[in-house]
Amino acid sequence: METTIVTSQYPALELKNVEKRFENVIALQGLSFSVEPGAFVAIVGPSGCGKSTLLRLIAGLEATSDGEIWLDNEDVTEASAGERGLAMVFQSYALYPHKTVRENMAFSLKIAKRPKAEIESRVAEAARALQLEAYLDRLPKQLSGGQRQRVAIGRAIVRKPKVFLFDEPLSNLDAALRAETRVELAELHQRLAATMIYVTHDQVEAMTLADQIIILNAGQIQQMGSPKELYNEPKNAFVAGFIGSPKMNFVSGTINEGVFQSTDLSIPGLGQTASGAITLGVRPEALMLADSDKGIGQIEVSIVEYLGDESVIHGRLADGTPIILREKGGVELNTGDRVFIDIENVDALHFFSPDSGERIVRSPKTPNKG
Amino acid sequence: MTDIAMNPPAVKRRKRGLTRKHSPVKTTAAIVLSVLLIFFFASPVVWIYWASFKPSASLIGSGTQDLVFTFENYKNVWKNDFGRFMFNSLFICGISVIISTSVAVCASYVLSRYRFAHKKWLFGFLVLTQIFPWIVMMTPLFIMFAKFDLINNHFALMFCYVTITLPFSIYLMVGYLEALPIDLDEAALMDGCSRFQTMRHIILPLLAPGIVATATYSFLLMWTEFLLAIALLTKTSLKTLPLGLALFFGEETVDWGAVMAASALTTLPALLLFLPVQSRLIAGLSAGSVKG
Amino acid sequence: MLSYSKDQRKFVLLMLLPAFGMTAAFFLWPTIYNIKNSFTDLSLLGLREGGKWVGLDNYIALFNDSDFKKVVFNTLFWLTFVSVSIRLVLGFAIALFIESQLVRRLRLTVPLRMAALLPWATPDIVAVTVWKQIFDGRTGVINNKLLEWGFIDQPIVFLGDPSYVWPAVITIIVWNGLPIIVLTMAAALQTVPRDLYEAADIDGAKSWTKFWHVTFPHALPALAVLGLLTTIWTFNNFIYVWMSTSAGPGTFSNVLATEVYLQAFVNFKLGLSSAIGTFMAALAMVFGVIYFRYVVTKRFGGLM
Ligand SMILES: Nc1ncnc2c1ncn2[C@@H]1O[C@H](COP(=O)(O)OP(=O)(O)OP(=O)(O)O)[C@@H](O)[C@H]1O
Ligand SMILES: [Mg+2]
Repeated sequence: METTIVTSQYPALELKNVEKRFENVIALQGLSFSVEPGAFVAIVGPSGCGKSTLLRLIAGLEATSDGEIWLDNEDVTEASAGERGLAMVFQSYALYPHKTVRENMAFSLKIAKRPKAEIESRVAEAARALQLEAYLDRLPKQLSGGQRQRVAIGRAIVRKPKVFLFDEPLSNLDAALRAETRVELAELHQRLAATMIYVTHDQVEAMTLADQIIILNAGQIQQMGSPKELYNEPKNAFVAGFIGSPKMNFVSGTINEGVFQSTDLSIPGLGQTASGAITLGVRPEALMLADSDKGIGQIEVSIVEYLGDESVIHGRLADGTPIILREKGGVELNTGDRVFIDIENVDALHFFSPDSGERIVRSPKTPNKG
Repeated sequence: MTDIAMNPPAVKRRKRGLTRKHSPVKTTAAIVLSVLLIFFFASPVVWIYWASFKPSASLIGSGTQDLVFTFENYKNVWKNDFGRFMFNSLFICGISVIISTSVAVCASYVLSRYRFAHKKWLFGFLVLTQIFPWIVMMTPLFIMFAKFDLINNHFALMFCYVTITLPFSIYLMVGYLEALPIDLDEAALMDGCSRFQTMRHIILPLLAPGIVATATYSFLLMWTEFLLAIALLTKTSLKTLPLGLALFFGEETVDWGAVMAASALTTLPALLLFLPVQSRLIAGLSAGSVKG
Repeated sequence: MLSYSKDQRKFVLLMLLPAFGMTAAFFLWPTIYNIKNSFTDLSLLGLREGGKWVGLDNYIALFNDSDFKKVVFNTLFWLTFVSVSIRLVLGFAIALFIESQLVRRLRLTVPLRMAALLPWATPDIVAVTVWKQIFDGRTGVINNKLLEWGFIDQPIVFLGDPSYVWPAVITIIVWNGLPIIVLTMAAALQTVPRDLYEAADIDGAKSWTKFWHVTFPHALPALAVLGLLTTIWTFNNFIYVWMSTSAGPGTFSNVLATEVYLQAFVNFKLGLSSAIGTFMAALAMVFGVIYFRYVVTKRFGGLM
């Protein structure tokens, strides 16, 4: 397949201050971002945050209330869905029930009045790539869920679109098939080198597939960045809590002269940081069990999940704040046990303003020097 | 009633061993009741067809047992312009159904697919027209059509028939459209279809069964319509079937054989058209109300 | 729901215009004209001259007229209330009977349903015709049989005798209008979730209890909608009374629909007829509002 578009000097997609209102509900507000050609961008966020709406705005299925949408240096804000030359894979697949697999895939080319020979060869090519050759003359209802999913992707591929749009394409598949298809999608992205925008509420999917992730909450972009950036430098408590599994632990307390203090925890040596009330964020993988009476504090174990190569320990501080931590291998702990916990490295700690949730950057160097 | 609460078949099958036997008295009562009901429902219709083949004279008095069959009645009604009436009805209803159904498809597509202001009032208006007693419009319509010299004009009646069937057709069709996911429209739009192409290539083929049911229903409504026809058609040669049927009631002497033959001819197309779509109509009626 | 930008607005308008333009022309103009006429003394014979403005005279005349009260009573009580109640009660009972275990086992369900389809498919005008023959005083089957078996020695003119005319008309209406209730309710009964019955069986419920707590609540919405629709259709109906009795004997079985017709085309009093029509339409609107509130907004609520 073609790989020419990658060289374009313009962003494949750019949104400028886009807003979407439904009557009085503001679904999306002040969205601006751009997507480089060939990038795989995932849009994640909790249910109802506006992911689908955003995708549909890009697709041209919804009209913007304000702002502009540019595709490859062309303002398409007023263009209809068909004119934008994008392809979309729907969550429900939306295969035409009265058309065979072949007709489903050929439909867009037929509407575009392409020559017969070209249609046939493109459909054949897509069918080969997706291993659908044996099913070309079946109707959608005669296919399994995974096969339907591939037809939906095939329908997008044959058009050689500038940008692929996916709205939770894997959510109707079972866990095994989802993992498998995820890999296939990654390969597809490699092979086509096309720009892909991918909506999901599964942050694992986003982390594994995407070059760039956009985190949406309540119609606003919380952060856009590579998976690594989001994981290591979350802009705010929302992003920090959303990315990573199990979720980041949050403990509210105060900080004073390099010492974090809450009812149950005490962490010294944090260097120059703002003082006053603060929220501490620490990922389960940055916590560890401490030798007795050392460490930053004590938790009461409520449950231990043993996963083979590691264990996830759920516990609570004395004031009731839940704490999750991950340990390599198995642990000998029972419900009700009280254990000390420690941190592996103060650099792995995050601090957030308790009011705005914004990240508070610690002074750069390691605490000992501070 | 024997069993007030009915049990569905699957349950029944599984529990056949457990369900109590119905007493012979109940069984007999149920059979008798069924026969009576079937007799009540079916006998008048059977009677129409039976009587339409009997000599008129034998319908008077109690001479109904004799087995003389005759086509005399059909010949009679045919002589009395009934062929003409039938043709008029077919012509008017046929064209009106095509127009009414097409217009209804367009409106219901937009009503079910698009978001726009004041849609509630449009639905409300449609309902209102269904609630409205049509008899009240007879005089105004008569006067209006008279003004434009449209009395005894088939096209005027077609206009009326299209409009009286529109609201119900739209109502039914919106229901059928709601069963088609809007994702299909959006997929077609993404595939580069215009709005019209989306309708033509995707929606219409999928909506076909609903369209057939709706068109049939409209046709039946027009086929048996009496009020508007009697107001707008006064010339005998232009009249439709229901008017023709009414013509056979003379003031004092009624030729019952002819009336029955005319009734049989009026009912037959209705029966033939109605039976194939009745289950779809019943489903629409009960689903619309049960699901709410 | 598709959104629309400017050119799609044109598409939306284009698609709606024929339907709503025609319906509005057909319904709105006559309605307004009718209301206007109801304040005049317009006569069918004096259409060209037009009518004189008489204010509320037509309405006042109506409300002081005891004959008109009887017409309203006939419409609301006999034509609508009695015939609708009979259809709903009988229709639901027959639906229960048709769907009962016993009738199923006897394999009578399908024949019963088929038989019920026949009256439904029969046009109202034909229904009246055939029943007129059956009820006929001279040639009707019923009279012939009753005479033959010696129950009576004088034929009864069912549709011409004040003591029989309403029962006879209602019989015709019930015959023609019962099946839609029977068949729709039978379909609704089939949608009662099976596990509810199983749960009731496990609880050891008697069939009467099962009926009250499972079947009836589930069937009620469908019954209510059908009741509402049937009421509206019957209230508005002109054919049944006009074709069977011509509002007779005399004006004994006169109802609002036939009165509108009689005043306009027999007495030529278009003004008065319009006032009656307006009154009738206003009454029908009461049902209309209920219907819209509870049925249409529920069914299409998501769209509006
Ligand atoms: N047609 C509409 N009319 C009014 N509000 C709408 C419409 N479509 C979406 N919304 C609102 O916009 C917000 C965003 O909806 P959207 O479907 O984009 O969420 P989402 O992030 O895709 O959620 P999910 O993960 O559940 O799919 C929601 O609050 C929703 O109620
Ligand atoms: Mg969504």
